[in-house]
Amino acid sequence: MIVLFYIILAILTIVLHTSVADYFSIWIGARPDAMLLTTIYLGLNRDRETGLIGGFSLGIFEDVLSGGLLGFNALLKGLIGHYTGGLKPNMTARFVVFHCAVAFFASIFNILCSFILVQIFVPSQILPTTYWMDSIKTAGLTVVLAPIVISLLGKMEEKVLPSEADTPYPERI
Amino acid sequence: MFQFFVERRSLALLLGLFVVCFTLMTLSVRFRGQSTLIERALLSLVGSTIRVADIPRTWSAELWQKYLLLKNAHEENVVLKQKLQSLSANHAQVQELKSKIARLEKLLAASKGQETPVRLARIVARNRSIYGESLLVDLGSQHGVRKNMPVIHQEGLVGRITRVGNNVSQVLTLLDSRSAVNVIAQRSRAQGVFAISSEGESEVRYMPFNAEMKRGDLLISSGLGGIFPKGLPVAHITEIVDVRGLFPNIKAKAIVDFSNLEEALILMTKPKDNPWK
Repeated sequence: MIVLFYIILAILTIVLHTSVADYFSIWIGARPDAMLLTTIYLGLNRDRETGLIGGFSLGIFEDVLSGGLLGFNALLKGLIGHYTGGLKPNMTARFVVFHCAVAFFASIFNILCSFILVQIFVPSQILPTTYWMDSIKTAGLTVVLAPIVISLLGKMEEKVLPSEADTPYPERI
Repeated sequence: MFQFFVERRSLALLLGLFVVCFTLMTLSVRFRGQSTLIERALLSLVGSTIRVADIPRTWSAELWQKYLLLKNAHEENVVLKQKLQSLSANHAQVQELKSKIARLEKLLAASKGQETPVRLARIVARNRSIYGESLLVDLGSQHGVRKNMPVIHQEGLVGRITRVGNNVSQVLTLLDSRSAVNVIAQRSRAQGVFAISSEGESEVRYMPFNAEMKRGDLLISSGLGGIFPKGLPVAHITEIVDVRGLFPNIKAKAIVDFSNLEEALILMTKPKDNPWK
């Protein structure tokens, strides 16, 4: 059941990433990183392994959709999922600042590592001049949306799978 | 070795992630410009997923568009209704102006045939009394209107001014029993008096019994009496009832249709021309 829920979640994230996020782009000139938000949610709500696998899966789809260097988003999202999954035992509080902080550091990590990986693997590729500004806008929007999306998804999971809710880590694995 | 990875599954997965991702990146760089089998497979999977998952989004977007369209249609409908009302009012005004222009053109044509100057008067009120019908026009003494000035229409004679106010005047029409106009039958040149009988019917009095009169003959003003100029159409003979007496009983109908009268022309005759003053 939980697997089905995450498959549906992944599909929704892909749809959000490919279609709905464009509306944000029209309204405020930046689009949220839906893949990153879902990866953070998976990491925070489950564990390192789920975060890593979920992040890798979403990242690989993102790579395929972007048509760029295959694997680098998969790597970054996998690492972010793994790292956020590791935060769970230490940070149990569900408060807004925590979610925002996680989203902020994850976004910064994603931006910087994307730049580095592209420079390493495709040095001939010139990044657009708006890369940094667009990335900052995306990071900002992701940080703002993080507490909303994570809380919303948490509530959805509780509704769909009440038996899984509030199960203390690591028994939830 | 295997037991080591089983015990440290998380670390193993992390290592696997690095290996897989770096392999994919290396392959991607090596086969740059070509789509690998993995890419094609993943793209097909994503494409199918998106296509299916996109159905609700497309549906909701279409629904939203329809809602906006309906909302706009409602607003547009309100605006168009207001415009329609405004245009209907404008159309009525235009029709009224066209009608007015047509009437005034006819009056203008009628006034050109007059030797005396004329003034256009608008009928502002009608008064129906036991004597008949009188009219109130919007010209008075300040406009040079005087008592007994003839009032005409493009069709013929309307009546004469009986009372003059500062800016309005009363017109005694031919349909008033107190009015009498000396007339001549245009064809036979026989003279008589057009007046209203005690029964309220218009008739021609004092016409000679030997006068050759026929139904439909036109009666024009004779000019006698000095009030009405000669030659103004007054009435048509409608019926010759009795010719045995000294004066035949002749019914006539005023040429002017008083029920539809909106404007009239006042002949501005000079006071010296008017012996009744």
